Amino acid sequence: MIATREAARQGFFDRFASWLGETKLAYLGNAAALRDFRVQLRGNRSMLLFGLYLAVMIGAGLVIYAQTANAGQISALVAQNNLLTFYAVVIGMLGAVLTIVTPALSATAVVMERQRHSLDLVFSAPVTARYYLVGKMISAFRYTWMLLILSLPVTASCVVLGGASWSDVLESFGLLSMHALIITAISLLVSTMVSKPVSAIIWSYAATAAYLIPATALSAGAMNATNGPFHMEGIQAPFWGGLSPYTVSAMAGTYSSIGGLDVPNWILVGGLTLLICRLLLLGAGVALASWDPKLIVKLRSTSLVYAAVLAAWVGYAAVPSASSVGDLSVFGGSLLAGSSVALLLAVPNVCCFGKDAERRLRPNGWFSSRRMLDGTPAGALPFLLALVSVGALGLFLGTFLGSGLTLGMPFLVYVCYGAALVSLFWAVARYTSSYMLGVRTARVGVIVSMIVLLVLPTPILSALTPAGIDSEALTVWDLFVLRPIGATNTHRVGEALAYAVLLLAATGIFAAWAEKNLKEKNSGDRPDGPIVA
Amino acid sequence: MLEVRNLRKQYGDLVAVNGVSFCLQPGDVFGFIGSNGAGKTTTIRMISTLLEPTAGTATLNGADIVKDPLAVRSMIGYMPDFFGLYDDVKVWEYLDFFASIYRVPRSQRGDVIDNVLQLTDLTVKKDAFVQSLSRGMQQRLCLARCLVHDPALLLLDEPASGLDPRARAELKALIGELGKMGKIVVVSSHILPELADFCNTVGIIERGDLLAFGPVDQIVKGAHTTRVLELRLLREANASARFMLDLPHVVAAQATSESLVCVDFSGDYEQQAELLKHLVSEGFPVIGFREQEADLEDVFLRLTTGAVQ
Ligand SMILES: Nc1ncnc2c1ncn2[C@@H]1O[C@H](COP(=O)(O)OP(=O)(O)O)[C@@H](O)[C@H]1O
Ligand SMILES: [Mg+2]
Repeated sequence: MIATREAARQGFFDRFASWLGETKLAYLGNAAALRDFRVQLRGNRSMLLFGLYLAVMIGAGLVIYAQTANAGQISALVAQNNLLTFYAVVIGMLGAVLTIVTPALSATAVVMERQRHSLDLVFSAPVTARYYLVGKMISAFRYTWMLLILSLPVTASCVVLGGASWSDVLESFGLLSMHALIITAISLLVSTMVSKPVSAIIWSYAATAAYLIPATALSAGAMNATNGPFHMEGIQAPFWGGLSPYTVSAMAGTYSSIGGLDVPNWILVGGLTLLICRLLLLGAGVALASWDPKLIVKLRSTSLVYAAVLAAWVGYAAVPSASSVGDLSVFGGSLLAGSSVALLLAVPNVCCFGKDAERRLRPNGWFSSRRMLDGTPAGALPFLLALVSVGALGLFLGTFLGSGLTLGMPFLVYVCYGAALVSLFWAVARYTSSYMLGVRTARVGVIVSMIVLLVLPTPILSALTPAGIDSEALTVWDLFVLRPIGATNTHRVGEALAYAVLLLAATGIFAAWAEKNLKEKNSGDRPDGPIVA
Repeated sequence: MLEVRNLRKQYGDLVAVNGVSFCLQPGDVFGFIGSNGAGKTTTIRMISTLLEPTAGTATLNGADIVKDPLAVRSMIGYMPDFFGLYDDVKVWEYLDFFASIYRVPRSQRGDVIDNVLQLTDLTVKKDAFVQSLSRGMQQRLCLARCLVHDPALLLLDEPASGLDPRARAELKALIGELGKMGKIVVVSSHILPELADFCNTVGIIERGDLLAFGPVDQIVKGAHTTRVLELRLLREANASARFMLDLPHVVAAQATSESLVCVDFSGDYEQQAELLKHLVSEGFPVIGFREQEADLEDVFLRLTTGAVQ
């Protein structure tokens, strides 16, 4: 008995040691990163960086000159103010440069290797998806960091002139690196999923925009809730103000008071960023793992854990007193529903199937919780619902731990609404796949349906009505499926409930339709053998 | 030992590889022959764990390609039918990269790289950029890459395609050398003569079916029930052909030109000598008499229908 326990402990330590060794190898001795580094030094991308840097430097130098040229005529206070603004502008510009440059630098990382077939060489070696992706992440990120380092002279001049302190600069750089990390991870994920470098770049920018727009909106909300974008140093502010790379300098130095502890917001944002990156890379890992069922199970279960931790982190860090978010239950629910919308991006890849695809992507039933983790179509809905559920659970627990509040009924309604939204597109994916025209066609079908239902209404509805999407009055905006998201008080909960019911009904219709199609197509034609042993 | 059992790959309704089974021992150089689209690449990619088999599996020294791909990968060197080289990388850096992802300890990498460069005769190019190498050199570099971790199994997919005769001869010598080192070498090709002289085992695949597998001489013998004799005469080739048709063990005889006759002969060597005696005593001016070497080319053409999917 004692012997077995001892052995188990030994086994645990062995596994931990080997995990540690792998991790060290992936982060410190990563051959892929080293190889890329050698190429980077020789390629002409460095020239591009230097060019950009020069442009930034010259622009900034001119501004400094213009400011100091009339220093004699303005009061010290105004001059001080100007310097602060100038510093904010420089850091904001850096944020803008990062968001423009990073996708271009990272998007082609994997897809180029796929196109020149060197990916096969790498994966015929005993290389894990994790090792490879970490290597790519390091090499893509190194560029972005070079940008930051190169901007040091300008930022340093701000410190010297008195617009900012070194700790401000350090904090801003930390936050900017975090943003660059997320954009790099987004681009890498895109890069593992597409087949052409050009589409990788286009989709990376699209995905980056899809992330930055809501993130910046959230951040702007947080700024408005406090003092506005400048002079926030040393005050309490909602941490999601730091989600935008353009207002980093304002967020540096702010804190959130959690359970009597003043936690700097950059720690909260940093943790959040790392969790998001991890989730994105897990997705990229699944895309690269292609067919190894054990690996997919591992990656998917890990992603459930990370989704829960991420949600808990957000719940924990959202401090109601500082954020003026209105009803916390509604806000939490709205956040969860928003995350479900982000989850929709995974639907085409997770849910579509076809005869032309790998065996894993052949139809094997519509719902099987046993298949939740193995990447087959029957496990798609269970997996998506599990993600929504662990997210909801994490948010609930995190909020409780952070501020002692329990998310109530409105939250539950929003959870159902988010789940219904995901289910609907799952059903659409099944429907488009059920014609058995191939996975690609099915995926395009789902993406088109998303654009029609979720993206197109925005310009059309805003043309139809002068009222904004955030107006409380009854407008045509209520016809928009995503309308309940972004609410801060209980007005919209009824609407969320109505939409949840409506979406579930539509889900049922599409799912039944898909089943009917599949029966017709598949009579007598079964996938060969067990899909996953 | 490589043991392939019922390996099958299906793309939709197309069966690319239809239940292929074979077994290879260390030191075997296996020629995997088939026309374009026969399923060679698909088979090799499945063995190299890059492609999921629809059914069946293979084990290499006990490691299963489906259950334990990472273990298999550390024992194989896979050379695809494309180069997959990186730009802006030097030869030794390229090898260093693969040595480190194959987990060759850092302290040994320098020696390993020197060794494989020497084996592939690329030592002088150690500091050259890979894109500056000739095609033959690039091919050898790819082979060098497969060797950095001293694999038990080498999978070479059409390694000789696009090489000039000299480079091809060098490559053949190198592959033969590797077999002698005790590795299992799988070489695929759609051109037969390329493989015939240095493989000791061959397999012929057609539309996903492995039609024949075994040692070269066995396969050649197995496919032939008669031997072909080639006679050279000063004149009267037609008359001699007619004459021979009436002799025992002659299945067919045909004059292919003024002075050449081909004979399908079912007898043994004793009876072969008998045939020659008859001819000479009948006064035919025979100046050459030999048995045509039956070769792989023949076997291949006989076994396959030449149909490409
Ligand atoms: N990804 C794929 N999708 C569909 N069919 C494929 C795919 N890869 C190969 N095939 C088909 O499988 C058959 C065997 O191909 P392959 O193994 O490349 O032949 P070989 O290497 O012997 O020339 C061919 O008919 C080819 O068209
Ligand atoms: Mg081929």
